[in-house]
Amino acid sequence: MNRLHFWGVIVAVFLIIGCSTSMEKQFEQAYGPEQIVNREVNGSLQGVSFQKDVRPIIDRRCSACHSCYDAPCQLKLTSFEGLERGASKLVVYNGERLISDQPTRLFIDAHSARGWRHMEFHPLLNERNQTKNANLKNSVLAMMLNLKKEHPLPQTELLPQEFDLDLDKTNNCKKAEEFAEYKEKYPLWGMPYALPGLTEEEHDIILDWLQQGGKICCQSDMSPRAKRIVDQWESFFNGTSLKEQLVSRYIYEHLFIARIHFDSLPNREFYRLVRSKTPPGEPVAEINTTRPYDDPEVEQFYYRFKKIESTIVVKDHTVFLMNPEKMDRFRELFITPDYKVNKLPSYDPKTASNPIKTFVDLPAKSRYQFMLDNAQFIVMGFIKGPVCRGQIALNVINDHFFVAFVDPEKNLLSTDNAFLESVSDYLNLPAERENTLRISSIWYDYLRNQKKYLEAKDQFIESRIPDDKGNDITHVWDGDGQNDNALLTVFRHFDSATVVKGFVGQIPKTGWILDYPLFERIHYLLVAGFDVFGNVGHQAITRLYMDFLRMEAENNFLSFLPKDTRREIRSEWYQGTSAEFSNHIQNPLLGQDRETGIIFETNDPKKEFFEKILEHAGPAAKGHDYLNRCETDNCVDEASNDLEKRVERAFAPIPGILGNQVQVVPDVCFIHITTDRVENDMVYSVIRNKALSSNSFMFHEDRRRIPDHDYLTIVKGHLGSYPNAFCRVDIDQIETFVSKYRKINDKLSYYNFAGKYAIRRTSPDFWEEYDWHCQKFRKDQPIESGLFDLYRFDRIAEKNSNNQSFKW
Amino acid sequence: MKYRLLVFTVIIAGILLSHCSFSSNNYWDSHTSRPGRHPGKVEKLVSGILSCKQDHEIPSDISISYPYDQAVFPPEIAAPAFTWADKNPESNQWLITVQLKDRRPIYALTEEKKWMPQKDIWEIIKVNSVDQPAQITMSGLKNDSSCQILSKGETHLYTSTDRVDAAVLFRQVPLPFETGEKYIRKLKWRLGDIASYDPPPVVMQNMPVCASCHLFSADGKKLSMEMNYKNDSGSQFITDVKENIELTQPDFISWNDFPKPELLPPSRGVFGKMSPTGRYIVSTVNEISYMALTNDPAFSQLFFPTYGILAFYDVQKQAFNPLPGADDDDYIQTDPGWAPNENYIVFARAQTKNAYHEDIGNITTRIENAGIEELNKKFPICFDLYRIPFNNGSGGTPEPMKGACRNGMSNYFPRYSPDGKWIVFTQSKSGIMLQPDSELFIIPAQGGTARKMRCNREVFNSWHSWSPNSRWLLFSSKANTMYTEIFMTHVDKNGTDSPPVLLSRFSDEDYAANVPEFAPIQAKDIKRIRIKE
Repeated sequence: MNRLHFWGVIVAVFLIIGCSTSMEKQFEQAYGPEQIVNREVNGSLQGVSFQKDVRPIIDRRCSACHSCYDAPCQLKLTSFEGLERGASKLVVYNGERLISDQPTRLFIDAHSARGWRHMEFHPLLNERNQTKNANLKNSVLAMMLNLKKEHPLPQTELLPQEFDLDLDKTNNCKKAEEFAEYKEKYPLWGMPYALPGLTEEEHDIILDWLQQGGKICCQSDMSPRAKRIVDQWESFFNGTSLKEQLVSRYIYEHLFIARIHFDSLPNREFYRLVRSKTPPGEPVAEINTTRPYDDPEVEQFYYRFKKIESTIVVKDHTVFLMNPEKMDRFRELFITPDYKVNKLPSYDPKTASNPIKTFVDLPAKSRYQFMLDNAQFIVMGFIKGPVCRGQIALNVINDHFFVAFVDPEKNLLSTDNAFLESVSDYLNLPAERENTLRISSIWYDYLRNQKKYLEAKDQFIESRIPDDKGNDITHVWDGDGQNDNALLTVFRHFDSATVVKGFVGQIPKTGWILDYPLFERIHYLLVAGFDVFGNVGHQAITRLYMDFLRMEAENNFLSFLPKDTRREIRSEWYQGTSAEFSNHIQNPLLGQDRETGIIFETNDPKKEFFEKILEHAGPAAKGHDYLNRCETDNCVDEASNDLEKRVERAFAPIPGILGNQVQVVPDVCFIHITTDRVENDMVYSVIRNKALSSNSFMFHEDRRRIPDHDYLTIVKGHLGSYPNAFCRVDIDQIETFVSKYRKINDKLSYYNFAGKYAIRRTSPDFWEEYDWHCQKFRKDQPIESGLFDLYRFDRIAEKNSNNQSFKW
Repeated sequence: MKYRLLVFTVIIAGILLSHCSFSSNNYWDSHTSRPGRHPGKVEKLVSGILSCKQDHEIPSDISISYPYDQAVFPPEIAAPAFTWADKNPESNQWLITVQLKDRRPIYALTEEKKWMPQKDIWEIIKVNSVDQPAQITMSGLKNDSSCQILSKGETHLYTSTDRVDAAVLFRQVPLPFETGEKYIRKLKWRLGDIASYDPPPVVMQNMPVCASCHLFSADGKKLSMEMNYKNDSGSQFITDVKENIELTQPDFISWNDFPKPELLPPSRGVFGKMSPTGRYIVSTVNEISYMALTNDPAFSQLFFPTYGILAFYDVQKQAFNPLPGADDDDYIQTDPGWAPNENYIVFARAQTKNAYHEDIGNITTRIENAGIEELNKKFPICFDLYRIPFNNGSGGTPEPMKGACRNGMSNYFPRYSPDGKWIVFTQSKSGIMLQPDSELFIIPAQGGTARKMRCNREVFNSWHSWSPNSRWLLFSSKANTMYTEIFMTHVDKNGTDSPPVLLSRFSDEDYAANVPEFAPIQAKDIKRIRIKE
């Protein structure tokens, strides 16, 4: 850098600091000094009510993006506390940080505006003199809404190019003092960002509330009925015997992310199971550890239920249902069996991060059965738990695959405590190292351990079942004939994913069969032990370790197929020299020497195996997927009504759309089918499944894409938390719609299709459609539903503003 | 005295001129001038040759490159230049023998491998080659008083009684193709008269904007042409034909005024065609085109729309409308042609090829370091011809044109004959314009078996235009040079055409002559076309 340049930079820095300081001074002169404001009003509140008037608007129009960890500027608008907390320039999803960040979990890591200001959050509400003028002029929220009103979203076909919808775009987290610059630079960037603005009425309500000081009245208390239920459960979880304490710890470490719903309470009432410094009967004082197994650092703590006050968004809504039967089941699994706990395990990460060690005293069969009972919830935790987004974390899995489990009655290693204890050292998980930068050496350690474990597993089966005839279909858990958690389907949509019950969609490329040690480790790797605020090493090792677990699950699946087909089938899953080399190092098909116990009759054993699983699971299989696995000309679900049958007949060709044709359609599209009567309107989701040559590598997924193998799956209802597009079509046009859909083959044909059927970000009725989807979802799934996220809602097309037609 | 001097000077000049003329048109019409006592050089030579026994069989070493054997000439056309090649290196002069029915031959001698008959001789040839062909023989000789013929070659030509009775408006473009105003200003538009011995006058030049497709109404009263007026690539003018055409804003329409989805680039209105009555113009709109500059100066661009629909402009109502039946999003519909009574429109249709664009939101002209053949392989496109009823703009169901559809080739540029009997179209392996292998085919107007036309030359045959009486067809070809030339073929009432006639006076050195259109007017009717700012 030459001297002139150097001084130029210095001067610029001073100018910027100077300007910012000068703006702060101006604000101070105009609106007084910064101060924390007490917004709670005891008793009745005059004027606009946050809960009654403002919150529904914010829920409908703001929470669609401002929720979970991926909320822009960490501004979570799903609760008053989130609004009061404000925004931060620190990014949660930062795959490059060398040192872990301090967690900033709302309701957990700070409990007041003052606390958040210490953690570098800046206010959206006026925190200077509380005058009507200052309440508006010093509120970023008011400024953002006013900016939108002054510069509404143009009702053009194309979203203006200046909107940046990139997931990794730089956040513009401006304080009130910095807003003038933002306004000048981005006049169209008022809120809601890149979406239509609020109605006049909605706008006025929020501004009135802000003007009157942004006050909030007392939060609602737990109902007496809820108190009674919570008391019963808190009593269950706070048993004093070592056995009870260990059981509670085990269940807590699996449910800490759950939205617990007591089925006798209103549909939308949810609780979190937390560790509290205070005993039942007193207000909950949550212990804010990073992980659920971190040392609570108090002499005694209590498991407590904390009511969730936030608006429910589907992307992190993982429901766990509780009722008296569930308590009985917990007792049956963990309390009734005769075993002793002589000592509680430590919270030292070396032990606590490894559930096989920590809970060695609990019967393995009970632990496994607990996970099986709630398999969808547990698997969904992998997806939604602490990572409501993350492509690097998710590219470890394929876009679409089926999951089943080994039967606890047949699979000895899943239930043999002694064996599990003997191999527990091999099953250590990366979280034991917490934040690290020694990625390659740690990876090698775990690779060696994984191989040792697989060898031990093989020897165990050899020694316990010398005349093993191989896995037959009865080795697959059938849900005990009634549990629809037996079979699951995972859909990955780029950097999010969905788990549904049953085998949904076409026969996928791969399948997983999980046994207990595998299932448990995945939970502790991706949920209990994962720290979203962790450093790059922690995140990378987690991703790399998951490779071992995925391959183990796939190999379990292969063990059911004819021995001589396994290598060939696996080579289809891992194509390319690099993947082959990676397999050679990481996945040498250990434990695949035994034949299968299944007699196959076709030359497509993979498909046949899935079909046998479906038949074996019987009622637990959730029925046949007529929409995607139709083998006759007229596949309809007899349970569907006449309108649905018409739609489903029309949709029949969609799962047959493959390869290049599906490259331009969005990953998740919700199709709203209108009818004469609104209550009969239907929704279907079209999911794009993208093929990869392998999942062996963390980066450069685009280089591993095999677009020719991509396909579409159609699902009745809503599937996915982050819709990329909404389409709307009248039922009388459904055949034409499908015919047009089938003709999509490039960006322009999609654009033309979208011109007829899609609801664009710029559509004047965008919010109406969004609301319809949210309401319909809630009607169809009153407990599991939540607001959809719009952060990944696609543009229909992009046009370069410099685009010039050529001239002759 | 002064008067005497003047008379004397004129006489001397006349003698000198006649001598010069005689020297350059060294000929002898044996029919009108019998052997005399003072025979000329040609007569002497001919007599010598006729009385001389050739001591060997004369090899056919002369290949006549023009006129093409069996070519049919229009009665009013000016004399062509005969050209040939002689394999015998010893030949250094050539005797031309023109044999006509019921007439003694005409002889001419030249020291170049090129001969243009004198105007009066040419008229004799034309008059006497209507029923029987004129046989023209070139004999190679050595200029050493020997009577031996070293080489020979012959060709035959006919003259039709069908007059053309139309001028030709065409464009001259310097090659290689370039972009930018500097290049565009070099373009020249000429209005040619085939009867004229002079180069056709330039009626439009030094224009700051580009112009291309153009068409006259059937009565010759209206002219319409695509012209990038005020930098609007979608502009097209419609104006009355007059001696001095001065274009102003009201003369222009813009295809950009047709409603367009935002994603698409501005409409250029590709291949716009005015209807025979001049009431409508039909064109491709909302189009996206693939455009690449190649590294081959002869075929310097590859252009074809990858998407677009047909729309028409009603001159009377001053309104744009899509044309139902040619407005399907799944296809590119382009290159329309009007039936003479405006009851049908025939057009080229293909599946859209938008995947050829790297970014549909940013369509740019590509600079490719590849030739046209390589690009054709990389970006193939095949058009089929369809027709729809026009129905006063209501359109109809597209109907594939038998003979010009689903034949594994690209079929495009359909033009109805004004008598409504035929459609001539272009066919090539791929593309819609400027294809080296493009050839002309003819089908009955309602579709039928396609016949490859005899007029096709070896390289590139396209951009054809029917004469108002449906007996002549103009077209462009690169048969002789990379600089496109304009040809004309006679088409009889059975749709049978002949080897073509080259309109050599329409070519300028270093310029390609293209987009020729018959104008049902006389060449003198338009002197100048310009934009009046």
